[in-house]
Amino acid sequence: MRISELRIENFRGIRSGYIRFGQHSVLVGPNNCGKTTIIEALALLFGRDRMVRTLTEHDFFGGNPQPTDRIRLIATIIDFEGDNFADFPEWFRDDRGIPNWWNPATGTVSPRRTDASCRLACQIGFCARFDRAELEVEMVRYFHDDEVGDLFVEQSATGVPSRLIREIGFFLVPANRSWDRVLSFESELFRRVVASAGGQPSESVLRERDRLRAPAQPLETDPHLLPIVNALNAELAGFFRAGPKLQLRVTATDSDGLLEAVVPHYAQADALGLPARRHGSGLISLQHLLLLLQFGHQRAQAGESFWMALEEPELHIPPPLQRRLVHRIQALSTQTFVSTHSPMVAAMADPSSVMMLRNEGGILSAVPLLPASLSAATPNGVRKLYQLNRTDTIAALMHDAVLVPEGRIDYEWMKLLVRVVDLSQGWTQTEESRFGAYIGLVPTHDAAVQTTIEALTGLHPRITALVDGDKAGQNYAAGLIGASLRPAVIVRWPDGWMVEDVVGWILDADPAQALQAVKAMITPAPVSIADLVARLKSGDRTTGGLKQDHVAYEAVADVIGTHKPCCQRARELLNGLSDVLLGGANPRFEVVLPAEANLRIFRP
Amino acid sequence: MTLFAIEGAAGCGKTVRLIAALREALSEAPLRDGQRVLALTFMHGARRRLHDKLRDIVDLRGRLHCVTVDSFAQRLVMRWRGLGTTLGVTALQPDQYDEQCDAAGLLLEQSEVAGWVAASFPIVLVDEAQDLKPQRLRMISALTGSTRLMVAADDFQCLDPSLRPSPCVIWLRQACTPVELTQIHRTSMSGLLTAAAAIRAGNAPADGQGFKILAAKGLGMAAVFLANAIAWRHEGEVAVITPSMSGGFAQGVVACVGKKALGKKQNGPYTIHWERSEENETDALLAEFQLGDSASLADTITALRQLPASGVVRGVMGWARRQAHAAGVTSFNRAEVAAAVRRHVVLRRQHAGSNQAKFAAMTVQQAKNREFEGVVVLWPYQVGGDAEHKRRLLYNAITRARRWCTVVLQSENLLRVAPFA
Repeated sequence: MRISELRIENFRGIRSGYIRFGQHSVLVGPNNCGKTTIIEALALLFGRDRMVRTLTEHDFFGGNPQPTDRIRLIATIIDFEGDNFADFPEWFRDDRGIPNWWNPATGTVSPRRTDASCRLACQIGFCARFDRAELEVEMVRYFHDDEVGDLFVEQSATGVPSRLIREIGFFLVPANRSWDRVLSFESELFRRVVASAGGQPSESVLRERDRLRAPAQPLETDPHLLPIVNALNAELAGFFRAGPKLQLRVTATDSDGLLEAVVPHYAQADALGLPARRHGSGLISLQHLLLLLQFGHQRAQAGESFWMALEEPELHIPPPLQRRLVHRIQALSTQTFVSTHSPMVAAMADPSSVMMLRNEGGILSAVPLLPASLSAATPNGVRKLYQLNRTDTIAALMHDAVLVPEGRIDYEWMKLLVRVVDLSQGWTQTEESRFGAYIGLVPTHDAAVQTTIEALTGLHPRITALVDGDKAGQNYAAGLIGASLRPAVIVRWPDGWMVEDVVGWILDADPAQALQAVKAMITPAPVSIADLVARLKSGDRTTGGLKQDHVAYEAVADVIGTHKPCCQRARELLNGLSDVLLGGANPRFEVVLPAEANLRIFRP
Repeated sequence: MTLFAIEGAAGCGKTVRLIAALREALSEAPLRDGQRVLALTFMHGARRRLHDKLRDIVDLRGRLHCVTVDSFAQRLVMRWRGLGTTLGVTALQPDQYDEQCDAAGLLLEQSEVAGWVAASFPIVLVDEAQDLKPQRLRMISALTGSTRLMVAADDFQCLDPSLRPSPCVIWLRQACTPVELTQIHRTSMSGLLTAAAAIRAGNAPADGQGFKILAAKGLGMAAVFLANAIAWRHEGEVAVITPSMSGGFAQGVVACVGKKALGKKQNGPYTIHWERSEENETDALLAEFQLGDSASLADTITALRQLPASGVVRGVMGWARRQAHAAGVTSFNRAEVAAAVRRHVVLRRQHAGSNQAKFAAMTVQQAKNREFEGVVVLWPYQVGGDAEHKRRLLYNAITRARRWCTVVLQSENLLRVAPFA
């Protein structure tokens, strides 16, 4: 069994949302787009009782629920082997769900199998309302028949029994990892791991409980305590005829008390063990995950299902372990849901299962990074976005706006400029650099600006382009303006300019000093900034060409970073660029032709 | 899969035989995890009694789903609403019982729905099937293909003149060979047995052991007969059953017996409780209910608080609060609240057992399917229907008795017409 899709209505920041899941989905998107909301929705639908927290008004979209407002979550479960509902009576019967059919092509669910490709599906729903009189949220988890009236007014729901929820085996590792006692018997997970490993060690627990009930040397008989205890007992006898006697015990002397008192310790070498919470957060994070893995392994071996939602695996765990962890979890689980802010983690997954989330005014949509596997006809430039440069592509898409530069060299120069400006960033507003925080740079393959934009348009609401002012660049700009999938903003360097001219312009902020510094780092030394620009454009090494000479690029960037006027100019350029890419205005980037309002040309 | 049917007169143990067949089926093919037996009846009273009888089967503990045909239909239509829509079923009101059943029948004719029901309920029991209208019969017959169906019926006990002969009985005889039960077990009183057999055969019933017919000369005399019958009963509960309330004969006799001691022996007075019909109960509740148009929730609750506190009233208050807080309703009117009261009366009667008084008065319809130690039938002038219908009414009334039955006629003239002639 796995979840094929999830619909969300009125839940937190999502007014309406739809997401399809593959077997191992990775959720990626800007902050506040709803990654956590999706994971929480799954927890409300499939979490065991302890995992489901009570909701408040703030869990309703808009935060001020009216009597008829409802949170509605509906998940479609498929992969019932053989697609014959009679084989799955725990899902399909009078007091469970009705058999539905999910059409993978359209995502529709209906009680009739309309197409051979339809899969048997059971829908689980969650509905909640806020009662303005009781100041309470009423919630229900139910089998969602294909058309359902209002569960709180019109009809009663068919509830989902907790046994079925347990069988599904949904586990969640939240980003908020307040779990220093996770590896104790108190934790349900730990109890279940131990239980599934061949019976809870109940006999040991009961033995220990009995020992604690009747300790060999009770505290109250300690010679230092005894006088106090005796006095107290004598006093008590004056109040209660039965004359109760004080006993001091370490636990509540029941098995629950014992289990609660257990605290995990870790010992290194021969040292005294330290309680888990006194170790670094890395170990604590990991212990929970390892426990989960152990549990997942047991379930997988028993042929049981194991759904795993993991928020931000990058937290507290070094990159090499992240990879191992994610792969192990995926190998064990029937289905996984990973949310992440790390392009690296996202890049570990198959690009068709990386879901790019977008939330526009509460409407959540989720688009796979790659809709299907790439066709043989896919141009190399696009192919590289999903393969070689996947991490960079995903990183770019996590920003508010995505900038597609004309080619690889433009990408590299922009990246260098962003880096030097960021490094010199100060606290005052004039030194603030906004570009890196808001604008994601796509590693465009040469001559692929148009195809790259086409490939990325569905993935992000704000794709922008940056092209040269030379003939080729002007052609690109014209092509993009006329294209059906047109970028939100096209920025063009001035007529005849290329990115190297921009570098020259930046160095010109402090020409003498900057040239001096460049001369010291590049041999043969350029005679002028114009000479440097010409050589940066030329790939002919026999005539001193520096194109794609990364050592030279770094040297020039270093000079910009260390010369305040140059750095200031670079910052001004990037901030201005970021303003217009985000849809604002900036005097350096003006609309030249009123008919082409989304084309901005840089004015040096 | 299989259809098993039982026919037989009242009191010959149809239900017992049905239970025996059920036990046999359960031992042949035990229920699997999550499966239950579905037991359907036409009326709620019968549902409760069937439930009580089936409850003691060990294998069925917690695995019995005993509902009326109507509520089974309603739930089925609700859950398969989407398929219903594609099949052309339009939205139905909760009180459109026949339409709901017809829609449920249509759904059950779809293999996926029948299969789904069979996966939950491999065995389906239907008692008192002679009362099934064609719409309900459609549901039952659609289940034959997929479930093990066990049906008990007696054509003569059907009181709906439009179902003569009972379409269900006709269908049963075509679809299988029903087992005929002839031995009456309810009573061994020969007079009762002979009288019932005579009425079934279209003949006049005659006095005998445990059975007599007394023709009164007016209401006062009838009241004495009733008081005497109660006084001489030895012990056990007595049901006063009348085929018709019109004319007020039965009400008058019952009231008279309740007022003072009667006759030479000065028997009574006896308090006899009328079992209320749903309409009567609703009307009684609403008689003192005042509510203006566009009343607020608070006003509505206040008005409901004026009524005698009862489960129904509490339920209606809960409904009103829910309407306001969950559906955003801001104003109520009397008609809406009255409809809610009616629904809650029905609901309460579905779920609560009626607390049976020692002396209870009721109509033949209300007495259907029940048993009492003694029965007094109050037979007025005004009984609607043809001779056959009257015979069925009388038959249904006297066969409720286990030990004795006295039929009190409003007038001697009645002895000259059916069903007494």
